[in-house]
Amino acid sequence: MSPKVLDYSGVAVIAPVTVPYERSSTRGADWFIGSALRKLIVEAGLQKQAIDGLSISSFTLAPDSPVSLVENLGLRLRWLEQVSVGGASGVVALRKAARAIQSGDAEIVACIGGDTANPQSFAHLVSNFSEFSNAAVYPYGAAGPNAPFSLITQHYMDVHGATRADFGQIAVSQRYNANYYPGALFGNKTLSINEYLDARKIAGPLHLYDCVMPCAGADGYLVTSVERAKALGLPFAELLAADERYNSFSEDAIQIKGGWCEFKDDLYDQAGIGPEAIDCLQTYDDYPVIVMHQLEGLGFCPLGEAARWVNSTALTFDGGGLPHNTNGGQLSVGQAGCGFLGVVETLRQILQRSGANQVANAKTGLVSGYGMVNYDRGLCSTAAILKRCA
Amino acid sequence: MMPSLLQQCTECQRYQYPQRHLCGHCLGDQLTDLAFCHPGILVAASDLHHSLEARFTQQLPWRIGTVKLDCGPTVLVHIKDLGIRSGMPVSVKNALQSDGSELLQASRQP
Repeated sequence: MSPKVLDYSGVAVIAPVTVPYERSSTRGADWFIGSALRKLIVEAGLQKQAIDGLSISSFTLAPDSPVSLVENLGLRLRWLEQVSVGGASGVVALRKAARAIQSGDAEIVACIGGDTANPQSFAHLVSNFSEFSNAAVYPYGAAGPNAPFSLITQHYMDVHGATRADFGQIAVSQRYNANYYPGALFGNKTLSINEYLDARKIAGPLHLYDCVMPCAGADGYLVTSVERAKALGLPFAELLAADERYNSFSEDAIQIKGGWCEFKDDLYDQAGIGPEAIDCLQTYDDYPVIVMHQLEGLGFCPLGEAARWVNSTALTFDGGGLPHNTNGGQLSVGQAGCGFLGVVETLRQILQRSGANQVANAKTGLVSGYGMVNYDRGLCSTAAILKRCA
Repeated sequence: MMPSLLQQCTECQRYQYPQRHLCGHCLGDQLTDLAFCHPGILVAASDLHHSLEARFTQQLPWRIGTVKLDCGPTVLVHIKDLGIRSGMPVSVKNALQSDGSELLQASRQP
């Protein structure tokens, strides 16, 4: 029997901020990350030097590293972390920062995911992502992540009978949500199911609206103690539960489920609630099929049933079903910052800080992450459950 | 470009791909490189309609697939024979491309 995992009591998560996303930028990742830090201290009413811990996630910071940012941004820290698990980083940063607060290693940790983007940066990232990818994926058509995800999507369709229209339910509902979120890069465009189905072909079953657009931007939040959050007079969220897994189900010939299946029961046990108590859900939507893996792996529907479930459950922020990717998700907002978007959107929703896309009475949110296709599948699966305090 | 090779661990006898410096099972470093000539099953296939490189753009659509080899590893392959369907037995071999590079290709088992 594995030892009992300590809970996250005493930890408060505050001050969700976003540096607006841009399709392309001539500024470096340091500008986006530093601007997120500035927003964080303004939002929390703190002096910069009150921040004594920093957690950074970025694909585009190199050749600089998090410690170079410490000097660059004039910080003095006693706790520093780089979280490099792609789209799983937002949740993993939260989990690690919470432990730093509980142990007393830091008092206020700024967690920031930020990236810059231009056409060259994406081509460079894709052509030199990992040893396995360079040798055994990239030479096969140089299609970037669309190649493995087209196979994962096709396999899911073959095995579970999902159709493109089922995936379209996810993309179209997220676009609806984005139409109420000013920060979404595609927020001023509507998307109908017919437009989704008629879109340009990209790879196998993947068409244009199945693919995220890499962009520049940053998201951040602060992790501190409940006492400190109360002293600041800020609304805060508690971390009820969180978990992470790597390289789960490596025996599967192709990815058809993720690591969430391995920890779902423990996650809800730790939180003391089940999926029915979740008021809003943010999944990592690099492709709609991975959303289906998360819906199944996190217990919102049985394995293999997500295609039917998304047709019987409203996913819009105001539809009365399960509000999902309530700002439009990466498919409609854009992809930057290593999976911080879902954490920050969860915090905005449950702290009642959202605008026109506010989910009525949202108090408890679940956010999941997924990341790093080193060869043919994503290796990281994470999730966290957050709840507004009082 | 280096040819794509299958590796077999001389200690635990397991096969692996893509190539690496240690056995992913027993962590031994005595690995034998083998040219591909292995049977397997095509698990999934898809046609690429978009590429980041001009050398592929003229050849689109370009079919790729996932093959589960009978000896264990899963390999990403190029598929020329459009009659091959998911679930069919295939053979994976190294194939020289017109530009001199080498790729793994799946073909029907003889």
